[in-house]
Amino acid sequence: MTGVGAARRDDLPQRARGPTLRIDWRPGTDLLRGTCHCGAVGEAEDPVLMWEWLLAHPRHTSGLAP
Amino acid sequence: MADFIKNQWYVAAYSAEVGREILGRTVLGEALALYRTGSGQAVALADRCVHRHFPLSRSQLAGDTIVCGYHGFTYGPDGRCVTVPGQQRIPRTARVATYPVAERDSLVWVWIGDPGCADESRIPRAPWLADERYVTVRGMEPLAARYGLLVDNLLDLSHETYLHDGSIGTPEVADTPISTEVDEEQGVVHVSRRMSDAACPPFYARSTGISGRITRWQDIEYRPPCLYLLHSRVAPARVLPRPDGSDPDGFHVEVVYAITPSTEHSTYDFWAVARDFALDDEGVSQFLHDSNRMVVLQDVAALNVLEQVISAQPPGTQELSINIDTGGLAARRMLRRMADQAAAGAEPVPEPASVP
Repeated sequence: MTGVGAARRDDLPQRARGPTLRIDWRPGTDLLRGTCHCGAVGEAEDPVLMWEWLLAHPRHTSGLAP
Repeated sequence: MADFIKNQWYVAAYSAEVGREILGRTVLGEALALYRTGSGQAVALADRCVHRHFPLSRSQLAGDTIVCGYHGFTYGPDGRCVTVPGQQRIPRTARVATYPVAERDSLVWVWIGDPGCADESRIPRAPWLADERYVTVRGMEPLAARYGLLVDNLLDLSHETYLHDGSIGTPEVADTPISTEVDEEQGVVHVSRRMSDAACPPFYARSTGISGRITRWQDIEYRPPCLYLLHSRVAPARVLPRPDGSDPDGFHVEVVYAITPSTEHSTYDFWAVARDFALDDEGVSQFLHDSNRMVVLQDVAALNVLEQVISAQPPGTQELSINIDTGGLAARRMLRRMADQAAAGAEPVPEPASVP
């Protein structure tokens, strides 16, 4: 049995993607890496702090920034 | 008073549930009577006769009108009373509220907020549910818990390893790091967990026929407040989509949840599983239906208990969040922002800002 590979999200009306905030949990570590839509990157071990750092845009001033 | 986000679309029923029998549902605390007119139009009326508040969902249809089962007040699909018993004059205030309704993808969406803001183009889509290239099984389980607990549950799938061991949970789910992305303009939370070499849980082993280890992708797309999509891809370990984007060796399951607050402490948990394989195999359909319903009922039992615990706690009792909660925190913040905007009377268009 194999999948038929039917179209998936292609079926949806395509909507433009807006600016994004992103947090990647770095494999093999407990570190989270946050990337703001402005390009700023910071790291933390706590998701609450990581979101706060991202939401501080444009003032990413905490000690979390590398 | 519950902190409902009113100016949004919510799923009130599956299309197949709304017919020539009147269906009673409560959405955001509003009791609704849903039915379908003779021309096929789904309508939603306030489920209370203006006279003595008898539920219209306990009444009968006569053509396109509802005849109250208590004293015979009769209402048209526009909510206007057309007949009252024993007299000619129909009081000017004899009408019940109506709610905007739209059907998309086999779902009946209802708008509880300001009718003037009910823009159907903003209904989030789940096209697999009405696509002949997919076969869908579905159900709805009432939840005796606030809807936020179901949002938390679905945004963090690491719980599969512990709560759903033996069906969809394997150790790799809890052990695999996630990526979380928030689309500020579109109001979407994405949470992705990509397992490259994982045990194949019975849910997928029995439905796909894969016997060995698998590549398993769980890509969540949450469109708050109501629609949750889990794009699930399963394939033999290390088998990936082809460079041209086609994926003939992958098995795709689109798991759809509609999370509809009923009251402050109860929720409708609509669930559907659409697949693009074994389309003619009724045995696979039955298995996936029964398995997913069992999973949902495990969630319901856990969240019902959790609701009782949380309800008994002082407000603001401290929680602890760790890395697995990154997506759930984003969803919470987005919901809170939408609720704050609603409380402030902000218009829902353009799309609500969705920073977590």
